[in-house]
Amino acid sequence: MPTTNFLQSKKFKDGLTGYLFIMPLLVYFTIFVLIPILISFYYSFTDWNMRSAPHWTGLKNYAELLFNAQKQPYFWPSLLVTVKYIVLRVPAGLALSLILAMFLNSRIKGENFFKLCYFIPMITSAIAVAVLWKWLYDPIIGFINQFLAGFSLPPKNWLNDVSTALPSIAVMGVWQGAGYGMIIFLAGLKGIPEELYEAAKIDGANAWQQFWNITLPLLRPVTFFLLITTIIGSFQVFDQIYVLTSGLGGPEHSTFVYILNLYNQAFRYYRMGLACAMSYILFVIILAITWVQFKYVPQNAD
Amino acid sequence: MKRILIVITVGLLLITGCGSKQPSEREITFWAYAPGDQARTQQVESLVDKYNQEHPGTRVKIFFVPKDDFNTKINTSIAVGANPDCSYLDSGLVSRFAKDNILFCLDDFVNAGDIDLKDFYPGAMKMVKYDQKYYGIPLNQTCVALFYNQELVKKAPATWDELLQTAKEVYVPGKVAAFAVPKGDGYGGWMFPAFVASAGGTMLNDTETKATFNQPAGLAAINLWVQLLQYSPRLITDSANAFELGRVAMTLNGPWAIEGIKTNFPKLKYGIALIPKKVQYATNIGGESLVIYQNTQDPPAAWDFIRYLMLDENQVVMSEVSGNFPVKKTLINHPVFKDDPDKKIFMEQIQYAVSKPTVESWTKINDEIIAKAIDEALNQRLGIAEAFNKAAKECDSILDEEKQ
Repeated sequence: MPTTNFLQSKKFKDGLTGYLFIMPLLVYFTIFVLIPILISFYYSFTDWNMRSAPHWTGLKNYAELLFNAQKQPYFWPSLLVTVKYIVLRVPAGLALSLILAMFLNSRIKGENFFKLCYFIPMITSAIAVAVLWKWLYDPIIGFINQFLAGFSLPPKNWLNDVSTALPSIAVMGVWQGAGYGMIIFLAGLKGIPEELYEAAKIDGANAWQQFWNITLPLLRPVTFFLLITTIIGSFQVFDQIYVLTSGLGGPEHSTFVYILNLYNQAFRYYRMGLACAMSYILFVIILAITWVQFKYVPQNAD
Repeated sequence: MKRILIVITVGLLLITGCGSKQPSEREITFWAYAPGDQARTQQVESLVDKYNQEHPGTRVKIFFVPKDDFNTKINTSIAVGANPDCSYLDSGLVSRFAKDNILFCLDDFVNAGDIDLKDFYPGAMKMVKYDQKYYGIPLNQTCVALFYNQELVKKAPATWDELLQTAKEVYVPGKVAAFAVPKGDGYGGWMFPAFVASAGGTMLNDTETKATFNQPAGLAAINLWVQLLQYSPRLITDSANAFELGRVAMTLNGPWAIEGIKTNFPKLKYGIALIPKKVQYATNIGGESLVIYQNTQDPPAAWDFIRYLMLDENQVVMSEVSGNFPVKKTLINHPVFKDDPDKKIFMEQIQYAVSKPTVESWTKINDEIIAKAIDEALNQRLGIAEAFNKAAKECDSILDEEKQ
């Protein structure tokens, strides 16, 4: 019988072994990620305060968010703040990661030690990093202002001034994420064949020309990957800002990012249905931006 | 979608239903905020143990939930029907939970004379009422008062004029700020109504249908903050522990701050005084209440336990554990509060507590409208009256919508 044959076939056994291996993650993913995602899609069409039963309200949440600036005065502003954060955070982050990676790739002594140092912020909890930077940015006892005072520069109230709060938080994000990008770039750099540089040198290319014509183009797939993941990560920035700005994205909502708004809608105002709708709007935005990048950003090392 | 929901709900019920109950013993589950340390946890546990020993046949099972996670956890538990029989609940949330038909109405017990309402502070009792009925019993309360540095401020100011005068005197540019002026955030929004009340005003009208914070009292309150800010640069007040290190002469803070100051800054000579007044003393109010849930099997048993926690001696323990204060007026003369100068001031200040509005959207109005107006006025983006009139208009339209 074909069934018996199939059950005893190598193909089935290999497949079964494979599925058994991924089973724990698959079960976890289904129960804690996939099902909640699907359920929250349903909730995004309801009015639900997490206590009483949700009422179906159709597209009302979406309409309120997108078109009712009186009821949702911070929807569009919070999206704008997030975009500003991305502009400050992503290019600087990629540049710093690349510089660190090239530094480590130049066969220096203690490569592993530096790798470890730069990677530590990545594996430290965002809250701990935020508390650390809160001290650095402190207007009186903070290291940064004391450093500036050494050059007779006036102190600044970094986290409480509308003009400096968001850039200060972006700097923190760059610092924290640099190690991760560095590791990925380093892997990319190690994959570039040495002969290309030798050939370029023979042709008389200087260091800058080598970097511009060999390193950067060959790093394109890696850069593209980092660009996508960093942008997505920056759209979702939340915990550092929550800790540093007393929960309302102060001063004057200048650091009130999208997810902080979403969090407040859900857990401060108990509008879980609206918050679910916000998360789906963000999903669509991220999807669209990622699609545009796949379409228009060069990603192959030609 | 519905099917998935049902499967999950049933699954959760099965999981939570595993702790099956003995039919002979009635069990009351009780959720409380986890106290700050082991010693206090044991104090609460021993109160519960004592109750269980004195009441054979009833067993109260207490679960400690960290305060920061409490509201989320209780909401989730209610959503899946796995909520406790009775629990702590932030007093500000009682009326909202009542509106959603989640809480058991306590009027029958209260009216039967089980507790004497005259013993309780009216500010605290007002918060646990919904639709003229009681849905909770306040367990403890807290408020803020004026902390001042005794080396910088010789005599605590009692009025707004004295406060401004003192601010002018103690301000040393670049070194000492006069007063940590609250900001337009959740915390500042919590402080602000006290200043409005002190000037004789309110945030909303009696029926909570119209904003009143843009009337003269509200404008006077924000004007005071604007004036104080001249002598209180943020560059100093935003620094960590600015008051504790003697860089800020006066600040508003609650009883929870005292222990930290005593432990970490023993050299600081601080005093605590009533918040200076314009026409009357006022402060804000916060705290926890005890509530019974609608789906409880045995409300009288849960009530009996609540009543036990409200006994004078237990009230003292429960307040001390939380760092807050009792809600019974009679306890003002209890040695624990009378003999401690810091606590004595807070017991006095708390008599002037005004509760915040109970409308459902208050937090949102506070965060998105009032906090913004406070910032606009303090940072001089708009004139005081302009900022507050605009805010009042926005507030009214949200209240209108909520009524419908």
